[in-house]
Amino acid sequence: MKIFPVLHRGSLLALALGLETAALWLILDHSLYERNLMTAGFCHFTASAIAGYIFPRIIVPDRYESQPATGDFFFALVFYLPVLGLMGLVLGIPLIAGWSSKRSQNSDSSVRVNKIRDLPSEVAATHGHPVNSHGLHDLYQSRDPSKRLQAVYATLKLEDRDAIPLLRMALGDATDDIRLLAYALLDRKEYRLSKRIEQAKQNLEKQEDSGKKQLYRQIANDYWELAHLGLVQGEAKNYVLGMAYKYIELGLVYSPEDSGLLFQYAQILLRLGRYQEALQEFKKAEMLGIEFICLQTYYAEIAFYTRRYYEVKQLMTAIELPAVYPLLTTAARFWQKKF
Amino acid sequence: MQQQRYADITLLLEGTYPFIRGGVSGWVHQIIEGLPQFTFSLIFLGSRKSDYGEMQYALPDNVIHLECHYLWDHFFSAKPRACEGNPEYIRESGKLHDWFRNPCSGFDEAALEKLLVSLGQPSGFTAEEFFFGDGTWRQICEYYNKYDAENSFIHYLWAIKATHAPLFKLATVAHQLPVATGAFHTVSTGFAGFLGVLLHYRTGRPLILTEHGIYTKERKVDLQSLFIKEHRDSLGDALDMGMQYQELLWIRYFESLGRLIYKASDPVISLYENNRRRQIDDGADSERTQVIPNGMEIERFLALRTQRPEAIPLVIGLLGRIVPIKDIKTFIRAMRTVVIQLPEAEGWLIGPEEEDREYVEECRSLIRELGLEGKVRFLGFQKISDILPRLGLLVLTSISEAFPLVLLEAFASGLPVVTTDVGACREILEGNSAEDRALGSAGIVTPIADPEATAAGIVALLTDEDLWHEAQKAGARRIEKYYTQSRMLDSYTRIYDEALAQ
Repeated sequence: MKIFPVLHRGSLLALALGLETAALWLILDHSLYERNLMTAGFCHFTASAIAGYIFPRIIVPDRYESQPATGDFFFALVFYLPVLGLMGLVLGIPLIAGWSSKRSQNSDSSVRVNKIRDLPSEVAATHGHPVNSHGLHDLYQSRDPSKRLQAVYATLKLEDRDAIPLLRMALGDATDDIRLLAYALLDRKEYRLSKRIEQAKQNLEKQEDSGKKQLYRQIANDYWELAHLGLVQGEAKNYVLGMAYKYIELGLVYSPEDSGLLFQYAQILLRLGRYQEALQEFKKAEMLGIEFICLQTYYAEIAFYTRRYYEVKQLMTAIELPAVYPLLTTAARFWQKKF
Repeated sequence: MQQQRYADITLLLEGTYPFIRGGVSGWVHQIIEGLPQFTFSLIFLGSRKSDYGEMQYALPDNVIHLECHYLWDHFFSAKPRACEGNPEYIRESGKLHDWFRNPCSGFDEAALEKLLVSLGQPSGFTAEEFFFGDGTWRQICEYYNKYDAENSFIHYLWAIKATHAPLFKLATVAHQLPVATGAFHTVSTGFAGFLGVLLHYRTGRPLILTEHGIYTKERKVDLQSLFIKEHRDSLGDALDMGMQYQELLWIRYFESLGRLIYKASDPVISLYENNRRRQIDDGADSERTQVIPNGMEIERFLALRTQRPEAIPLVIGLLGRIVPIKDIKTFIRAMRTVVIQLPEAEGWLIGPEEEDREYVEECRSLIRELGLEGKVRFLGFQKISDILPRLGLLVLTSISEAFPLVLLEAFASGLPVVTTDVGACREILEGNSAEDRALGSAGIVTPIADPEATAAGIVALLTDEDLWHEAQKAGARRIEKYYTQSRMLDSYTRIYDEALAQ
């Protein structure tokens, strides 16, 4: 499709409109009917080809690679609906441009990136009571054991991903009561997930094929949470990731085109250090609808592990600062430096 | 067993010897058996009779009396009857409660003695007056309005009743003790310690306190665990409901009992230095405190050293009750890493499984989950002399310990140890003084709840014969120098002699 590489989009659009107008004029002229018909046909075909080239680029944002099927669609639309097809598309451009820019704003990386990666947020709120996890970390630094104990209790108000790092830190506390409370809280979180897994595995045996898909997804997700939240460590963590891998593959047998499953599958592969496979699965998930912006940091991570540092820089530079998650801001700043 | 009217020492035992096996019970048995020159009477305090089975120890001949009381059986069954309640007692007990709230100030010992000696007596304050007296009701309402009005009155009332009811039962036990005693020795604070206080003030005989763990801390942990267990699915809601307040009330209660017991006891003994400091922080007079570590009858274990095979067995043992505080799950997770590096290795869990069946099932489930069937085995309770020579390493993954005797047993039988850094474990393994540390390390100390560190310690010792033998020698040297049974028994002989001479 790269037959108009040097012309500006506006010029190409004008050219297409001109060709379509010329074709219409030739058809309406009865003096040299047969020759006009051939010329009009050629003009209409060229206008359709230009439309097939230009409209995917206007509608699909720059960061996405346009697919050949999209071009074919616009070509067919203009070709089989002479005049009306092209006119409709041209009139629709302002609407499309407005929608596209709004969509772009909504998926701004600096706003959403922490949710994408499931990173600890600055302020976690539950039950309507905001609890600042960084404030709790400060409270936990107190020399007064009762304040440290208070900080550990307050993790009950945090979501797991925010609470667990503090609880793991408290496992090494010099005061027994604090250490034991942290241990008990971590143990309960792990118990809850393990129990769910056990229950779901029992249900699998009773379930018909149609219901199995959801159970596979749930089991894989719970195994993933155990590893991802840091509730298991070392070799046990690898084992748990292996189990998440096994169950998500079983789930994919039933839904090979489920973008959510593929996204999680790719994350597991990434944690297992299988970078190329992870990249392929992330790409598949993207093709099936997951936005590029959601995958940006994963691509950067894979590029980093596979030592493609220039690519890491490109991807990290696209993150607007300050990012919501402070550690990501630090990382992004590092990669945005000019060396 | 022949009934006599006098015992040198009355041991006050809460939830341990002779019905429950464990470190404290083993120590009690060791003391009774090791000091045949003294006669003992035993008062066992339990929760409910149905919670205990048969006696787990054969009582030595110098035990001349045993009585058992269950604090939560027949809570209070008298028919309600209107009464006013002793106003003077209520006023004085109010002052005592003020002291509990603000222990920095002093409290008149004579007034305290009067209150405690007359507790449960018609001349003082009976259980009936406590449960049905108008004066009591007015005091409860006044304290509720003054201190806790923002919380539920029903919760407050039941907490007050539940905390005070056992005290009346203990007062009855103290007044009905059929044996004259030279000295009382309580093996914890809490209810047993409080009984000791009542007996001390009633008879004027000395009270000795030996704390293995710190009772108040352990109850705090129990309450925390219960809180978490009961609200495992809605912890956030539980916090909103103000559950912490009930918990704090109970913790303050045990702290107050502890303060009374520290005040009445001399000496106040702990097993290691950190616990002595904690006792002082909790209100013990530092002049009365002393440390007497546990000791081991090494001779019993010498034969075990010779039974040890030449090659180090790839068997890792954890000896202890299968309960959450031993963190068996960390041991199981560590075994996952160990068997990858040492495929022939096996983990043995050796200890009773009756105490927390639900936790045992969780552990079994984890073994299945990690694919460790056949690699980690539950052996139940075993005779220690049969099991120790078959092990290549002893592992302790506890999240809380005081002074685990099992470490000394391992050293005595020539077994190195990997243990978590809790209680006295580090000083037992690495030494307490410069001279002690010069003996070397008898194993590896790891952080709690860290399966990878535990596994690394296990693999390091099992794959490096020189390191293993060095640790074995260090353990044997340390126990022979610092932790002999005779050293411990000599200390208690001196303490008992001094108490009986008063």
